[in-house]
Amino acid sequence: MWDLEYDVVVVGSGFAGLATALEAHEGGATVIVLEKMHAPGGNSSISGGLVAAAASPLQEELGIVDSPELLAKDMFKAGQDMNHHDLVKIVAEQSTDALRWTIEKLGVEYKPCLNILGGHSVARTYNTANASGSGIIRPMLQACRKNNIQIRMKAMLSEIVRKPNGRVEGVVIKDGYLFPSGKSGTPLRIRARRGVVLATGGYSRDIAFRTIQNPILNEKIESTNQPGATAEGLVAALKIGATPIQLAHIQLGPWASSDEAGFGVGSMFSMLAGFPYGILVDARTGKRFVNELSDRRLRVDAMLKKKRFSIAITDSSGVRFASTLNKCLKRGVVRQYETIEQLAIENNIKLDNLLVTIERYNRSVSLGHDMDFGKPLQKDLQAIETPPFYAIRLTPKVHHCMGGVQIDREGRVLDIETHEPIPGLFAAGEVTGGIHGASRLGSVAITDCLVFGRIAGRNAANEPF
Amino acid sequence: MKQEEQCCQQRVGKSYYEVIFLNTNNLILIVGDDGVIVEANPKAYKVFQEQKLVGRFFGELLDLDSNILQIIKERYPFDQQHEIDVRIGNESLIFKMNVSPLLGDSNLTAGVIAILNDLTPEVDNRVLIESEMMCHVQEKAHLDKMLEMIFLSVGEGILLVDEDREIVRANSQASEIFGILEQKLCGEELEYLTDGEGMQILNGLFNSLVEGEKQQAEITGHYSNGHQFPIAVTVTRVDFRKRKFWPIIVRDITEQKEYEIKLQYEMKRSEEMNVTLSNVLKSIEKDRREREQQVKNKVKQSLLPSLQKMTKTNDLEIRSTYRELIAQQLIELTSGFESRLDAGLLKLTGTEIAICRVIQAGRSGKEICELMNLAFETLQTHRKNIRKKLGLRGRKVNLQAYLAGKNCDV
Repeated sequence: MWDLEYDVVVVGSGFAGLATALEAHEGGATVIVLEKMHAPGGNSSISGGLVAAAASPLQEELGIVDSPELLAKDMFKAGQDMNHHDLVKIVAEQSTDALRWTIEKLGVEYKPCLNILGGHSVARTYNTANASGSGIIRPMLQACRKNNIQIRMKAMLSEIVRKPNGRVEGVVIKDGYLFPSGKSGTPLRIRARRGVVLATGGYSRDIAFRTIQNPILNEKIESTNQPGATAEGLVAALKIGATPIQLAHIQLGPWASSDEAGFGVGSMFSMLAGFPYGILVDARTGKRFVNELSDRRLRVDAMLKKKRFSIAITDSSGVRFASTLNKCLKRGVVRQYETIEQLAIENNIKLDNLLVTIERYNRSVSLGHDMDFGKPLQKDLQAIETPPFYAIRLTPKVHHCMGGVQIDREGRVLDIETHEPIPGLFAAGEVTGGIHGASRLGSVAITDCLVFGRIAGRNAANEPF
Repeated sequence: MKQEEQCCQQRVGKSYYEVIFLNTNNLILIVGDDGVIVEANPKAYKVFQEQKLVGRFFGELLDLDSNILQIIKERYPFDQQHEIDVRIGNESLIFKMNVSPLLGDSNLTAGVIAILNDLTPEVDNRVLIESEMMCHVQEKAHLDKMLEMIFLSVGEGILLVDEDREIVRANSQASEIFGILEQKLCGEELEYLTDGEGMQILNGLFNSLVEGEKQQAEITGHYSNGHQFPIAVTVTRVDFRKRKFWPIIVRDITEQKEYEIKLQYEMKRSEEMNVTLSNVLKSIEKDRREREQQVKNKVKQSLLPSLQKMTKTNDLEIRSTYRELIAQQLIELTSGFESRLDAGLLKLTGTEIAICRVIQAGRSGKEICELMNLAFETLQTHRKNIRKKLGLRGRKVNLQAYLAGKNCDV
């Protein structure tokens, strides 16, 4: 009946999957991680490595007052209160725990400063030393290797096996799968004595699936994700009666560059410099049009209304935290100009308007509050006036799926008919829904993946069989 | 003041360009000092279709951020070209606007005349050019795609490294070898993929290679989970736009290495086998010599003494016993020199066996007593028991002669 047998079968090798695997192993379970691509890590490994933590050690050191309640409040605001409160509470309360776990257990290194991201009311975002999610994924993979947790590559989930008694007993995979060929791979049945944990991520690159959920997001809109971010894992769960939740809520990232593919190096530039220390301008009018630190959805909606591209502009003082600047300049994603005039001419922006815009913004900076869009101005913010000036042309790209399968506080997937947990099936990370509501705050995804990955891992290891 | 009266006054004052006002393709708006439009030409009415123009705020109509004429005048100085965006219904139009002071009747001195030129077609043209550009870009993208396909279908890993030792391109095989997705691998520093020594070797190659030259090396590769494995790299140099690039072809040679190690092991083993064989041959030769020696010894020590004794005696019975003994000794000599164990010997105790060995060696009774620290009487008892066990009791056979042909290594 079964070709292989483990206590816990984890599907997906990103933050959520690896956190699950490590915790389940710690709980004494035998674990296998399945990954359909030819290399581990998924989107997690290409992400920016930004981790939100409320009431964290660095916040205490820097005198920033924060609490899980405040993080939860920010999440509800961005999520338009469509978030499931009990799940948000868990993420917020365990955020600093999860962060500590990465430092103490995995040895992850973070920069010694905090970032403020759009929609957060305080600076609470850690960033890995290499400004990439790989700064967490690598230590996780090393820990798996040390603990002999096998990660099976090119292993694509094709079916979750649920018995008539309602229990999930294992999975069928296509072994030796070559993404994206549907014909590749041979069937292999893997029994999960205690539990299957779904950590298959989102479907930002699944154009067919995402267009069904939201027709606006057709093939013309790019994505920041790696090509493997498709919906099969989610679909397999729906097939055996998992509850879908808020699948149409798909987030676009407002910070991605139009001069490179995917997430690239420009996204981090915008997040760390362009938006917090610069202005976002409509190339056609030369005017600001939105609070650069508002929630992603508000920014994207405003950007999508513009006929030409949007451009983020900052100066030499604004790029001091932009760790990807050199790579951006090298690839022509960010351009450097000696004068605003030059910047305006080369980007075909009305110079007069741009000068007026910058002057007005600088006046806001000196006043300490944004007269036009209510952007929260940081204490260390300086006027845009010190050459060289930097500009990045932006286009919204599909970034994150807020929707997915419904889970309870224990990370168990809920049945669509009974609303009860499906025995033996857990989920964590982007494949789950309901935590972020209508819009996810930047840097909360990694926190979510770590928190619920660990919960699912612990509970799967303890599931009786 | 009533608007119609204003209009009349206006018309009288500027009748000389009435024709232009009515027929121009530009939009003309005359604005009073309160920022309210007092007059608009037919073109303006046409563009702002179904909209009331006279009496509306000029600033509001054109989306100018303010209705106060003074502010508008500051923002849009006289006799300059201004590009403005105006939303009309669902459409967005772009105008070139020229604002001039309106001189005339007292109540209008502070007013302005705005002439707007619809730029939308031009901008649309710009969009068209941009989309044409996009077509070219797409064509180029198509070509890139073709190259990409070749790049991806190569069986070995390919990394393209630039002068900063940064990986600028990587194919999926390389991604698989190092356990890092292509999206991440591109932009990664090369040093992440190997150790210090490997980097040194690669840097050496980068520095020494001339364009088009090819070099190979074996270095250590690092997988994303920290696992280290042997890789073979082939490095070449390509110069492109005054910059140097080094394509590196990478092959995971873990299996090859394992095979090599296995092969080495096999070779060593077969060498050892050869040595063993020659040793065996040598020992066989040695054995043969030993056996020859043994035969010589046996002939000298057993056969010849037995023969001598047989010739010396006249007692027939003794002669026949010796004849039998000699016969048996001869048979044993010729039966492949197998030292067959004698059933009788097996009955002996340890001490008796030890005594047999010494007798066999041709020692005298006295010598044996000294050697084994035995009283002569005890030795005699042992001898008696030995003879009994060997079935020699009552037979006139010398024990030494009997034992000479036996294997006493029980």
